[in-house]
Amino acid sequence: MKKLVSLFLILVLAFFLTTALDQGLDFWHSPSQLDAFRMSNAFVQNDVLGEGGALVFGESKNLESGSANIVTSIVVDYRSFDTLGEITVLFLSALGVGLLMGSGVRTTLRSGFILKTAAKMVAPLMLLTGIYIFTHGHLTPGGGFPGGSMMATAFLLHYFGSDTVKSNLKPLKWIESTAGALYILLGLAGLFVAGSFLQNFLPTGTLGHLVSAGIIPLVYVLVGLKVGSEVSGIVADFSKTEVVS
Amino acid sequence: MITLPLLMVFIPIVTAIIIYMLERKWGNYLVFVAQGLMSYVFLRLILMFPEINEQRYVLGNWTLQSGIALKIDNLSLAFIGLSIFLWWLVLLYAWEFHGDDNKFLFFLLFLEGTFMGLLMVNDLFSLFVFIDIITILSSILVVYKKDGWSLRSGLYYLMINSMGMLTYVMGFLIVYLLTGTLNWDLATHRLALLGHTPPVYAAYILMSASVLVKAAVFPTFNWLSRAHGSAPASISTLLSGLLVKAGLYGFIRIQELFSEQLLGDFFFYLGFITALTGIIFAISQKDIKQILAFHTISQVGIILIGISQIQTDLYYGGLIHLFNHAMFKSLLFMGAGVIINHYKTRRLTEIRGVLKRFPLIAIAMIIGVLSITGTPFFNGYLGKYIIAYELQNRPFFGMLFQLINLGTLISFAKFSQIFFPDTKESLSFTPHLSTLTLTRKERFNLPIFILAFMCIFITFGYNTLGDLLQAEFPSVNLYSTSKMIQWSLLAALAIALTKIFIFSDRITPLLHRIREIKIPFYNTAYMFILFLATMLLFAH
Repeated sequence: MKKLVSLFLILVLAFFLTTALDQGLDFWHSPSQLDAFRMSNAFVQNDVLGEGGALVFGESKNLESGSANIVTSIVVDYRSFDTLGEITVLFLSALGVGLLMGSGVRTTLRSGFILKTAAKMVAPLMLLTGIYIFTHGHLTPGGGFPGGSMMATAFLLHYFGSDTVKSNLKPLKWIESTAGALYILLGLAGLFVAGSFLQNFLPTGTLGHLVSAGIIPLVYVLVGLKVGSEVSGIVADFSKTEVVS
Repeated sequence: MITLPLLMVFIPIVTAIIIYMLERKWGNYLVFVAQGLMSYVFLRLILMFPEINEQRYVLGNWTLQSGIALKIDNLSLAFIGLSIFLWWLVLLYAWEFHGDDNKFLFFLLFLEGTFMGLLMVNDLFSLFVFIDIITILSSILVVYKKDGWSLRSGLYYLMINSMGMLTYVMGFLIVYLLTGTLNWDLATHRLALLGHTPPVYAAYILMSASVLVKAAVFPTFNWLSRAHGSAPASISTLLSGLLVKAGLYGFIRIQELFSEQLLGDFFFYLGFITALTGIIFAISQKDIKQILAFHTISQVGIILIGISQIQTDLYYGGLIHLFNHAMFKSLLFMGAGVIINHYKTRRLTEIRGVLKRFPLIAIAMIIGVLSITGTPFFNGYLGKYIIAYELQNRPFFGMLFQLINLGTLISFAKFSQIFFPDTKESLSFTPHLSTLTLTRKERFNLPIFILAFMCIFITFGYNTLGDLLQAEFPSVNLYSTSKMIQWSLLAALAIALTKIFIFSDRITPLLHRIREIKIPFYNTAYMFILFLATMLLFAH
């Protein structure tokens, strides 16, 4: 009964929301139709400060943000502070998991020959792919978060594929704290060099080159390392079992 | 000078990371350095305040439209002052137990930084990020003892608050679609031009509902008593004194975003319902921390009655009660922590002789009890006076408000039995007491005394607080004879009722039944859906 009532109420709410939104909004604007005052418009033009200029891949120089991937520009340049917050969320969740489960004893899994051999070959490749994804975050889809997760998956595979993991988690903890602190330091460098926290103070270079877009690749490398080490830490913590005494 | 808001966020966070990485005992003293710096920054801000009314800082030198802005106005400044003050006291209080525990201090200090961020951020999405971090940190601190009860309450807290945050996301996405900006001030401006269209109502309902979950308002109040009851004493102090106010602060900000009350008097009624629910549960409890936790719910209800009518005198009544509640509820939780630590029990019926054992702390706690019950010359009186004064034109609600006061008085008359002298029966529960000597913290506990002093000081120095909030309280009359008589009558009635009903076991089965009501997570979720639907009814 309770379930039926709540289902009914959810349907009413959904109906209200869809009709309400239908009256006031149109989801399917193409960029050229966007109202000029909308923030998304400025983002799509990659021209928030209104300095103008057409974008040509491989030719345009000294752009405002300089990243070929607009999502990356938003995530680690225009709204970099939120990203700092998001990696903090991940950092604290990892710490919470560590606090709750870190006292357990590591269980060892028994794995077959095929898994062992394949893991030895595939894990380094995955690690490399992860690094590729986050170093090219400003050019291609992807970035620090997927790249870091890819690295953590490599760690998970390595863990599954070996009988004895002599993983000392100290370096992981160190990498995550250092990467986080470096992100804040990069922000402070922006404050002292260019005058505002998290400002992009390096030259933005040519659109589409690997070394371009100022601090964006640096930030994404840090985010990638941090996410990778944190998720690996969570994986390692979850592989422990609490000893019931 | 312009970077002061930024320092407020990053001094505690950077210090916390340093403490976490150092893992040394001497490193832990850095918390006091950080606190000192924070207080200095706050002083700088408050000194430049009357001339510069609002400070805005856009991160990364982008435009207001696209970047993330931090803004300090008088409301956030008042909250910042309160937070720094309470963090000082909690750190001093917790130093005895956790002074060598660098992880605990890390979480505590990190929480301070993110709380500052929440108070200053002027962006729809960043506010969500900060609420997110605060929720995770608080649940980590709730489960810090790692026993079964606190683990369960911590997870319960996390789940219910996450549920609330999801509706916030839906709400602000609608605001973004309507206005094309995430900046709070620009969105306020553009929403005012849009008028009362259905999408605006939808956004308002979803966003308000989410912050009210955080403030433990009916129907999603149940996480509060669990979490605040099971956390370590210093954390309960912080959760009840301050972090519940994060929800109320968000509520005020959302009222400002939509410029007017779209749902009429809905939140006004909701405040009464919340207050009464809190009182009914509080009267039935036997655990001293649970009583205090349920009273947080009832006081949140009273504050909500006030702040539901924004920019009126009622609003300032609610706001001043919010600040006063932070003082007396922190005081009571700290005192309860000392008592529980000494007696090794939390049951009201087993604790006696507090007045004899810790005379100074007991006097401070009595001040706290008098404050929360709204006694003249103690700070709880101010907010309750203003709210009662503004309710004069609505006799029914005036009566209901007096009923809430009566309920508070009854449950604190019950609470006060811990001050009674020892009896043979009570000593039989706590035989270890005779061998214990008082530690230094139990004899002279500075944070508790500071709070007790503040409870009295604010009553007479309320104009200082009023200056900070840019509010005047013309209706307040501290020496009103009729109010004193009214309070004495209520108190006499409450004591009589307590004696007749509660001490004499006449309604014990009923109280027992109320105490045993456990609302599981899925029921809370149902009620939350029902709550959203009710708000919808008020919108049309």
